[in-house]
Amino acid sequence: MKVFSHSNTASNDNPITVIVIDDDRDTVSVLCDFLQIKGIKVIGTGYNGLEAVELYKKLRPDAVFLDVMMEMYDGIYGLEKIKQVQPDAIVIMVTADMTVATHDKLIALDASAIVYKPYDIDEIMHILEKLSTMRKAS
Amino acid sequence: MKQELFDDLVSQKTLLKEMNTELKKRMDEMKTDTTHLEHDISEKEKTINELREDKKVLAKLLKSEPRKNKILRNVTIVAALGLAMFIFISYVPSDLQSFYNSNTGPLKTQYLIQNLQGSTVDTWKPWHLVNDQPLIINILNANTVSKEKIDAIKDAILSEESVKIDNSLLDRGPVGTVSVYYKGWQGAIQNMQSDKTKFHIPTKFNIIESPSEEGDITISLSTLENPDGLSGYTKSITDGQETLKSSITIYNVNDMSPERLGAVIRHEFGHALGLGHSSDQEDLMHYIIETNFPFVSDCDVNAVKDLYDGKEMSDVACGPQKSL
Repeated sequence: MKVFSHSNTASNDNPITVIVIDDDRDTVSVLCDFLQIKGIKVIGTGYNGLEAVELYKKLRPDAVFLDVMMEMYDGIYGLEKIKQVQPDAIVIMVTADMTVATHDKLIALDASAIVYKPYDIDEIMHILEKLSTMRKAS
Repeated sequence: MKQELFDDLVSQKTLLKEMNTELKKRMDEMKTDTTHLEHDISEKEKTINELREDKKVLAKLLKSEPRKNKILRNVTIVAALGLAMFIFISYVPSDLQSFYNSNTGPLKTQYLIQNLQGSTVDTWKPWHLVNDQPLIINILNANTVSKEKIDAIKDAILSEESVKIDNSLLDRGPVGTVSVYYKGWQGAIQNMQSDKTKFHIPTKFNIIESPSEEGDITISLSTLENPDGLSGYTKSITDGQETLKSSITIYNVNDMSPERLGAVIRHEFGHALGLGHSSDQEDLMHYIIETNFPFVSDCDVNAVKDLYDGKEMSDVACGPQKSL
C-alpha cells in the first residue's frame, strides 16, 4: 500500500482525488500515470480489497478505482466494506469478468460504475468526465 | 488467470497509447508556445536594443547640452555687447561724427588774464553780475564767415543739448557707465545742480553781431594764421577779483570746419567765463583740444561753480594741475 501526500501533476488547486487498487502492479502504475496526466490526483494505491478499505477510511478520496478479481480480499469485499463505511462513496469497479452473476453482484452492492477490461478509452474518458462534473457540482 | 493478465496488458497498452497521444499533443502545444515565446523574446530584445540606442543618444545630448547652453550664452552676450556698441555709436550726435571726420589735428589754444595795469594775473576771475543779468557776446565780423559757422559759434554758447558718452571712451570709468556732456555752455550752466554761490554765475547769454567793440565778450574771427600756431586765444581784463571784459580771437577761421570752430569757441568761452586750462587731455579745457568729445564736462561745470563761489583758483579742477 502506498500513500502519496502530494501530486506533481495536479491540474488545479483542488483536483479530484482517487485511490487505485489492483493486484497487478504494472496496471496500478500505468493507471496512476494516466489519471495524473488527465489531472486527477492519485493519493494512494493498494493491491487487495482490504487495503482498499483501509486507504478509503484513512484518505477519504473522491473516488476509488477498484479491481474485482484479486486474491485473498477481492474487490467485492472492498466494495462492500467501503459502502458500509460510506454508503454514497464513489467506487468504480474494474474487471475482466464479464459474467452476469458478477455484474449483478456489483450492482447489488451499489457500485458507481463498472469498467471492463480491456479498457475502452472512450468509456474511461466518459467516467472521468462524469467525475469532473460531479466535482464541479459539489 | 492468463486471460486476465492479457486483458491487463491490453488495458495498459490502451492507456499508454492515450497517454502518448496526450503527451504528444501537449508537446506540440509547448513547442508552439516555445516558438511564440522565442518570437516574443526576440521582439523584446529588439525593443531593448532600440531603447539602449535611444539612451545613448539622450546621454550624449545631455552631456552636450550644458556646453551648448554656455556657447549660446556667450554668443548672446557678445551679440548684446555688439548691439549696445552699435547703438552707442549710432547715438553719438551727427555733429560729433562730423567733428571726427574733420578732425585733422589738435587745436592749440592760449589765454591771458591781465589787470587794468597790464600785468598778468595767475588766478581766474569771475564776472560780477547782478542776478540774471545776461552777458553780451559780440561776434565782431560775423559777415565774413558762412551762416553755418555762425550757427556753430552760437550753438557752442547757447545750446542746451546734452549727450551721454561712455566713460570708457574718455578713460573716466568702466564700460557701461556714462557721463553727461553739454554742447553749449548755457545748457551746461542752467542744468548745474548748485546752491547759491558767492557771485552770480552767468546763466544767460545774448549774442549780437556788431562791428564795434561793444559787449562783455567779443569774438573776433580772423582769416590769418597765428604765428604760434594757435587756433584760439582769449584775453581777459580784470580788476581786483572781477573780470571786466574778455576778447576771444579765432584764427584761420576759413580753413576750419564748423564743428572744429564750435569746439574752439566752446574752449575759449570757458576762458571767457573765467576758467583756466585743464591738465586732463580728454577734457575740453585742455590747452590743446585733443579729445574726440570736445563738450562741456561736469568737471568744467564744477570748476565754474567753485570759481563763482569765491575760490581762489590758479588752475583746473579736472586732473592733476598743470599750468601753461
